[in-house]
Amino acid sequence: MATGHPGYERLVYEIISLFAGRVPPFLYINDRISVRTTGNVVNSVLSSISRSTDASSRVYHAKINAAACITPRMLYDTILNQLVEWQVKWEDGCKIWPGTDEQRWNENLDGFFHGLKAAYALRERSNSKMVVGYSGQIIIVIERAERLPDHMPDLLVPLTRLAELTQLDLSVIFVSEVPWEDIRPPFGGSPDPYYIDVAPLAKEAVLHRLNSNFDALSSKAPTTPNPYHPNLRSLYSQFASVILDTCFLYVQDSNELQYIAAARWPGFVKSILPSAGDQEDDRDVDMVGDSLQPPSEDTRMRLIRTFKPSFKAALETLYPRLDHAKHWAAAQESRLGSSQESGSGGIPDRKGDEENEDGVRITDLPRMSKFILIAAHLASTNPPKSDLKLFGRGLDEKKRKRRRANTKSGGGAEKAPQRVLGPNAFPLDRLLAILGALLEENDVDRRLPPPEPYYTIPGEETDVEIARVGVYGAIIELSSTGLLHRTSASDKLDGPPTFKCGISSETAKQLAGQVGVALHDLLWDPA
Amino acid sequence: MSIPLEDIQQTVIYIPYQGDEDSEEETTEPSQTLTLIHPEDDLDNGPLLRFDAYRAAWTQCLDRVKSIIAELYSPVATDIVLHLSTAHTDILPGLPFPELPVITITDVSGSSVFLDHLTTRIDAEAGTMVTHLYPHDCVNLALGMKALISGFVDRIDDAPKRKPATSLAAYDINVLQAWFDTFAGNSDLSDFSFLFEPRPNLVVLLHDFEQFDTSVIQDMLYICSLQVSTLPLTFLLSLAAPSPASYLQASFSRSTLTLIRPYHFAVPSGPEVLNTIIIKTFFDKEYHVHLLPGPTLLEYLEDYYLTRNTSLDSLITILQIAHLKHFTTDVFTVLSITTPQISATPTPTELAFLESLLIRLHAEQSAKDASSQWLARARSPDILLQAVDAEREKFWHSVSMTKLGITIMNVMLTSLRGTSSAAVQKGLDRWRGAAGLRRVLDKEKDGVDGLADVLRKLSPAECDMLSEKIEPYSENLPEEFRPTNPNIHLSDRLEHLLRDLLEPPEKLTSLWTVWYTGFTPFPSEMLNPALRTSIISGLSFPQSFTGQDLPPSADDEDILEDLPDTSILFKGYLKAGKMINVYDWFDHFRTVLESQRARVIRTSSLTKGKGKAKAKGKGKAKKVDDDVDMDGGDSEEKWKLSVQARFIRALHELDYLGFIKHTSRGGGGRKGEFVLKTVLGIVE
Repeated sequence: MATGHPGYERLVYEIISLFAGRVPPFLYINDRISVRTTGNVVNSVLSSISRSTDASSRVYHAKINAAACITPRMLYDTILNQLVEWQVKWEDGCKIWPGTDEQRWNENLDGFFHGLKAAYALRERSNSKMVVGYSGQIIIVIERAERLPDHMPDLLVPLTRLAELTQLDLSVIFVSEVPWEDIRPPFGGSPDPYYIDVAPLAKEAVLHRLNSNFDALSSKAPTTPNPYHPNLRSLYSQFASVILDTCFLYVQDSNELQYIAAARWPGFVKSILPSAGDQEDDRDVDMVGDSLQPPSEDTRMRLIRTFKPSFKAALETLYPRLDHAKHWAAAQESRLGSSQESGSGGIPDRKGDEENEDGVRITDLPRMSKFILIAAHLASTNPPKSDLKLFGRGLDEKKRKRRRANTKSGGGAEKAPQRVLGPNAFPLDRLLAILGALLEENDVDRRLPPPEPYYTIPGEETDVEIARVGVYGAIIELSSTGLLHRTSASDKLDGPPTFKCGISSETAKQLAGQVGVALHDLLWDPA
Repeated sequence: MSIPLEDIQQTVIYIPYQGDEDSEEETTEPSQTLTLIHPEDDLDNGPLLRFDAYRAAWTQCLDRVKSIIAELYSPVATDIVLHLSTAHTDILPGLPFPELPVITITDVSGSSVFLDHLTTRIDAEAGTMVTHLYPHDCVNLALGMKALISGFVDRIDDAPKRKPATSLAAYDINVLQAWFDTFAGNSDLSDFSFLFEPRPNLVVLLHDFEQFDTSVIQDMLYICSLQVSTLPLTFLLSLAAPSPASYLQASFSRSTLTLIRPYHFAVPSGPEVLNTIIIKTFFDKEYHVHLLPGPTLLEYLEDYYLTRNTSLDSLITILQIAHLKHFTTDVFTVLSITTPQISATPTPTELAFLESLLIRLHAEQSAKDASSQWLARARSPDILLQAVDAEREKFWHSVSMTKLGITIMNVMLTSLRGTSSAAVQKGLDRWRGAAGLRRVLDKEKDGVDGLADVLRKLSPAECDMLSEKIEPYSENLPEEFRPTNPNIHLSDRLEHLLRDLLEPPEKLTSLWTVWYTGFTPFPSEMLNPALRTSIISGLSFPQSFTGQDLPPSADDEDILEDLPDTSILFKGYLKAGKMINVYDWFDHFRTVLESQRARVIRTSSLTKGKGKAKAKGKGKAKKVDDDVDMDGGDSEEKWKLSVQARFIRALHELDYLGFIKHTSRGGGGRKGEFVLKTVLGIVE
């Protein structure tokens, strides 16, 4: 049984040995690295136990996911249906297990207890025909148990005491990535569980898992040449170990490593697979068999040398999911194709691409939104006291510049500049005031002549411009798209709403260039 | 005139203003709505006829805009549909867990037009079903899941009845699974599922994705990703954020990001879209619209689209408002599409209409050379209306020449894009886009002057290419536009040709206002008002909103007396500092009212029974009259009470408008007799 789960042998043996005897009523399995795999291992071991014909270890197994079961009722239904192996059918209106006498089990906790008893009795009856003297055991596995307090806080204690409360031979297993201490209910409401801590996998174990994954795929794969052809097994194993050498220091989760390997492998073997055009011609089985000989040692070394830099890049992009595997693999392939032509190394520069893409989209913003974003950037980086000096009208240029220079040099203790500390929050009024100043300096000439010349005071038209509904609408829209961050609660009516700038200074510079604002001169502490 | 109030087929019913029967004072003053149109020369059923004309013109314009938008959008929509069809089959083998396909649609314009288009496209696909989720559906996880599931499950009409107590909960994903297993069949997905046929696809379209609660969405994605190997769900997220990738990164946790496989699509936007729509709608030779936008409208459109709101919804709104305004302001827009039948013996209103029509037709002609025509047309309505028909034909014929000119110009601009030197590009930029169209159509501006100078800088090869491109168009030209001298340089020839073709439409016929918006300003304040400024100026100068002139007066205090109560109070507000003592404010208010009252007594004693109160607001004015009529000490008491009441009412009006913040009683030693100003530094 353990061979199916490389790296998890200890866990499997522990579960099996527990089930050989009397299982503790409450187990807590904690895996901080790869809880999803652990959950799968536990469930597959248990279901194989429950399917085994050995009457001495008869198990009725139910598994639920606390993140997916959102209400107690759903939890009751799911557990009971699984225990009695009830199949929900659309034709009869998705009926849940009705019990023997059409009772309702999902109303409350008490009903659930009765339901458990009824389910147990039903299973026992069907079994006792076969072997007399052995009684079965209910096992309920709850994955992502850390979500229980969110969805159903009242159920946490009863679930941990389920055996006691129902007086059944029953065991509840919590599988979670957080330790029990973090979700333990207060006042000792729950008994202490039997702990099983799953240690992080060793490098060899992960390699083993990757290899067995390849075996599983290649057994299902068609015989035509494909990346998961059995003949490529030794190459894959070498590939996987190099990937682990690069990445294992940073990532221990076998799933993540498998993800990276899956993204990289098709590109890696592409050069030794016959290309699509060849395949068309070589319909012969013989030819196909010939073409997929395991590559020579020389080819392997060459391949690994070529691709090694891209492993780290894959880790950097794929682990934080800046891109997903499929798209990344495709992008790598096209990049490799172009770089082979030009003769340079295939080292990816994904980041530059990303930012360019963002830049292109951001230029499509309306002009007013660009001004708002620049004003927000200024309001977030400049100290509020500097506004009058930077934007005050009536001061001549020289005076403004001199003042700035003085303050800058006269600073006492060296303070980190705001652009390093991140954006400051600012009230809406300040944003509008800076916006007005920016528009007055940079946008007046572009404006359409008003239908009637009724603006007499200089700057009056700008004052009207910044008070328009469209400006407020644009600010709200920008804050919903994440280019501005609203820092005050949206239901707070007292006082002006406050915002933070959500764009980088690079983007702000780009926008300023587009609308012709001299951003550098307007920054209090330019880089 | 009968008003078809009972007819439920009518979408709009026009009820003409007939004056307020309750008050005699009001009827004497012309209402502003009545000054907009000229009822004296309008037909009896003029508004209804014009509404029909508006509806026909606008429907045609809207249909055209919609079809152009569909054309613009269809490449992206095709990509998305194609991607949807392979979303569950085109999987990278060897992944640890199946990923949930997610498609983000970035629409910077944030309008619904694209999604409507996409939904119709997806609905046409076999085996694909779409469920729409809106932010208000998903306030919590259970409601969100319920909406998602019922969106698919409820499509089946004769679904077996699910009982609330004995069936699975409506928010249980297993309901959807059971439904899917029954109706779509199911086969195990393996890593080599690309060998299977395309399977049915369940698409969940999340509108306004930014407005959803992120934690709810993350849980929903988690639940769906657990089932994705047996339930082919695909999520379509509609975003307005310019960078969907970084938006997802910022709003989702890494554990959620590992569950999804996002693809990003962007909806075309930007000035190109605007230009295409404008040119193809109004200046396409093959397509006939009933209303041509003038330079002012084009300029406003471009400014609004580029500066304020790059959404197609707002573009369509502007066009619709322009249509509405056009058909409500000019009585003769009745003639826009068809000419109404008028019998040989016209009713008095019809006669008035015909008369002013005749005047309009001959507005720009001198009496001498038109006298025979004038007489002929004046004799019979039929001849006059036939003349209108002829004018209409003439106008659109000439406009088709303008359209041809614009088409040639457009061909020239696109063919020279990217091929010529920077100087030429810069020179040509003047005529690009909607702003360029405005320049061309505006007779006050320079039109195409200077085009030859720019084109002269072209290399000979480029000249050849250009003339090749233009050749097919110039073959279709009528005789009078054919170049007389084929030897002159291409640049001059083009400039001449374009100048000849691009005759400003307002010169074509004296009835041009019927089909062309010309230079009428667009009512921009309706679309993008400045609320606070309007409120403040409304309070400061109420007379400019009611249309009544104040009696000229040099003294500031005299003006105050003529204002309504709230404005009097507001004037005091403007003069005060940061805080206002309510009692002082009341004192000021009382003095103004008392002088108002004194003046009323004065005038009423002078001209008894003739011109009554001049004060604004009929209710208030009447009250003053009543007070004046009463004599004795009792009335003095009543007057004081009424002053107090009026003060409180005005104060509360300002309070509702958000101008005042009250100080708390006992807090800061103010005892509530002061109010804080919320609006400071107002210039009147």
